[in-house]
Amino acid sequence: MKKIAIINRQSTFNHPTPRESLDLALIFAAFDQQVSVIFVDDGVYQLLDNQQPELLENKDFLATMKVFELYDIERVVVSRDDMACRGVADSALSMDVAPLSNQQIAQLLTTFDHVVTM
Amino acid sequence: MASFLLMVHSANYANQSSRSALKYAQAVINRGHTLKAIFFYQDGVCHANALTLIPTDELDTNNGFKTLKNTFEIPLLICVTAAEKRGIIDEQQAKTESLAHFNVDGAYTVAGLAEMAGIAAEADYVVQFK
Repeated sequence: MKKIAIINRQSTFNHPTPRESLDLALIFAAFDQQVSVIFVDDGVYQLLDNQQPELLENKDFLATMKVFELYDIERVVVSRDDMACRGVADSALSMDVAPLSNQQIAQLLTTFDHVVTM
Repeated sequence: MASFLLMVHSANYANQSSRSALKYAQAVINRGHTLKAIFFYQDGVCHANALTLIPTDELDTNNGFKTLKNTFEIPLLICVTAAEKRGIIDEQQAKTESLAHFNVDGAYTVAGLAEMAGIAAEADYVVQFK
């Protein structure tokens, strides 16, 4: 079993990357790997509550994030620093995540076998 | 000696990372390491497009990857979901979906994320080229 971190750096609807990243996280978890999902940079926007993908005629892939627990995703982490500089408050988030400083995240990243950035 | 899985995320010709991936793959092999596979994800699936013509005086990365497959039997895997959405279609899919054409080069294998995850679980290193 490998410890795998998936780092999300992009905003929700600019690119198909967030959706393709979600597929990656779930498939690694389905293979019983120890997966953590980390949101940094513009990736913190993916966690905003009340996003309305249907207005852009997008599929609501965000709902899939809610099954992280079901898939035994080890931990979900967000950068407190990157939230702060974007004016994103804890109360604006759609799910329970662990806010860490970028320094703490850097430290955390040393503990993984594979780090995949999306 | 270590084992590697390479992931290529950007299209051939659109980005230097395609060349970097090819050079890295060659270096892994030349140093005697094991290259388990190269997995093409996101726009990287465009590498499998057989209908690509690169002028003879330019580096043809598609051809370079094909050589890795033909000479060293390195599996070149493309993500089927990512590929379908980007018009990269193999013969079987064309038949199933009643499409007039297909374009996946024979050196590439249409695979799923599951195959990639299985390989990543065994590999010492996963290296991305974006």
